[in-house]
Amino acid sequence: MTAFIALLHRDLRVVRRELPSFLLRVVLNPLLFTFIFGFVMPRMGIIQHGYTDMLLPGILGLSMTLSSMQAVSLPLVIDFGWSKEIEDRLLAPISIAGVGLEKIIVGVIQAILAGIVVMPLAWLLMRVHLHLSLTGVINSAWWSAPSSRRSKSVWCSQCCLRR
Amino acid sequence: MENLKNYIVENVITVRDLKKTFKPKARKGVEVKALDGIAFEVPRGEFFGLLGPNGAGKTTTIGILTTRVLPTGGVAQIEGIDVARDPVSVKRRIGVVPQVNNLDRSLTAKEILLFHAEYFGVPKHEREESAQRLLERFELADRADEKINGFSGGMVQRLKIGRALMHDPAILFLDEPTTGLDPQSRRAMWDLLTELNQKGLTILLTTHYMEEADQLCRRIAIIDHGKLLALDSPAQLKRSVPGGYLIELQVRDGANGSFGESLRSLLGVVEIKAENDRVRIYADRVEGLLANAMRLAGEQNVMVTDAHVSEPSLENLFLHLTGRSLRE
Repeated sequence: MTAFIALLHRDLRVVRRELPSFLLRVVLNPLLFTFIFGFVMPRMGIIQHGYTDMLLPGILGLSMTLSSMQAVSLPLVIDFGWSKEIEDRLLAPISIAGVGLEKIIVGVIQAILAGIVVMPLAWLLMRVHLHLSLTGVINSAWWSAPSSRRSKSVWCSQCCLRR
Repeated sequence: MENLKNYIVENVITVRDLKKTFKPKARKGVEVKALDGIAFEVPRGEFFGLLGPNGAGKTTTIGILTTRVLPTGGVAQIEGIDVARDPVSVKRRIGVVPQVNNLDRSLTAKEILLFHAEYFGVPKHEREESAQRLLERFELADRADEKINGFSGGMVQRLKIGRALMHDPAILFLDEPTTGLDPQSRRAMWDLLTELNQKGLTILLTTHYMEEADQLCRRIAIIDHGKLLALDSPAQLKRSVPGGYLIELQVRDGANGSFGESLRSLLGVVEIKAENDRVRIYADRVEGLLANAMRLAGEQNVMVTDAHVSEPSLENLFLHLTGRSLRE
C-alpha cells in the first residue's frame, strides 16, 4: 500500500510540474470545437436548434477521455518501448497489477481535472444557445440511446420534461 | 557435510537448474535456450561475478533473480524466497542496477532518490538524509536539482547505483556496470563497488571484461550459451589452465635460436615463442623458473634487459574453456 501511494505521489508530482502544458493540451481542442460548433455556427443559424445541448456533454466526454489517455498511455508507450523506464516502477515492492492499477487511477484523476477545466469554459462559450437544466441533462442522456427518437424529437429541456 | 556447510555459511542467492527458453516471433518454431540449467550459490557478503560474452545468458540470469523475467524451469531464491512465487518480498531485499538507463526522466536527480525510497516506505527524514549523503558520496550534489538529460554516462551510472542503495538492500545486482565508461570512471566505479562490498553488501555483477572480474570478484562463474562452464575464485580458475603462466624476457641480441631452444629444456615449460628481441615462456607454475631462465641467459652471454612475469589470465582460461575468445 505504501508503494502504491508513493507511485501515485510521484505521478501527481509530475502532473503538477507539467500543469501548464497539461492545461493547454486539455483546453485547446475542446475550445476550438465549441467555438466553431457551439458559438459560430449556431449564430449563423445553420445548425439545428438544440445541437449545442448535445455538444456540451459530448465535448466534456471527449476531452476527459482523450486527456487521460494522452496523459497515461503515451508516456507508457515510451516507458515500455524506448526508455525502459517502466522497470524503474516495476522494481518498487508492488505487484505488476498494482502498478497497472495505479496508472489507471492517475488517468482518472487527470480526466476529472480536465472535466473541471473544460466544463465551465465550454459552458461560457455556448451559454446563449444552451437550454439545459439538471433534469434535462439526465433525460437527454437517457433518451440518447435509441436512435429513432433522436431524429424525431427536438432536444431541449422543456420537451424532455413534458414527456 | 553439504548441510553442515549451509549452516555455517548462509546463502543469500540460491540458483538450481535454472532454465529459460524463448520463442522469438521472428523465427517461427525455433526455441532459443537462453539458460540451460545453471546452478550456483552466493553466501552473504560475497562479491560474485558472472562472466561471459554477449548473449551468454548473464542478463537473463540477473533478470530472473530480480523478478523481471520468469524462469521456464528450475529454482531461484533470494534469502530463501522463491523469486517466481513471491516477487514483492524479493524486491524489498534487492537493489538493482540495470544495463540500460531507466532512471526517471521526469524527475530531478534528488527526486529520483527520494521517490525510490518512498516506494520502499523509507521514513521521510531518513530518506532525505540518505539521499543527501549518497549525492555527496557520488559527487552529484551540485547537480542534484537537475533532470538527468544532460548527465554523462558516469553520472548516470553513479545515480543508478545510488538509487539501488536508497532502500538499504541486502544484495546489490549490477548488470555490466562499467560498459561504456571511460577508464577513469571505470576505476572510480571499481573503488566504489569494493568499498560497498567491504561494508558487508553482497554484490552480484555481470561483466564481459576479464580484468574487471579479476579485480573485483571473490568468485567467478563463467557462462556461455546458457551453461555454467566454471565456478571458482579468479586465482584458482587461472591456475586450472595448463601452461597459463607467462614470463616475458626482453633481450638485447641473440634471442632467437639457441637461447630459445635451451629454455625449452627447463622444468615446467610448455611453449616458447621467440620473436626479434622478445622471448615468451608459457609455463606451468614452477618454483625458480625465472631464476633458471636468467641463469641460462648468463651462461649463453645473452643480455636480458627486462623481465615481465604475468599471472595466468582469465582471457586464456576462457579461450581454453570455450575454444573462442571473449571478444568475438
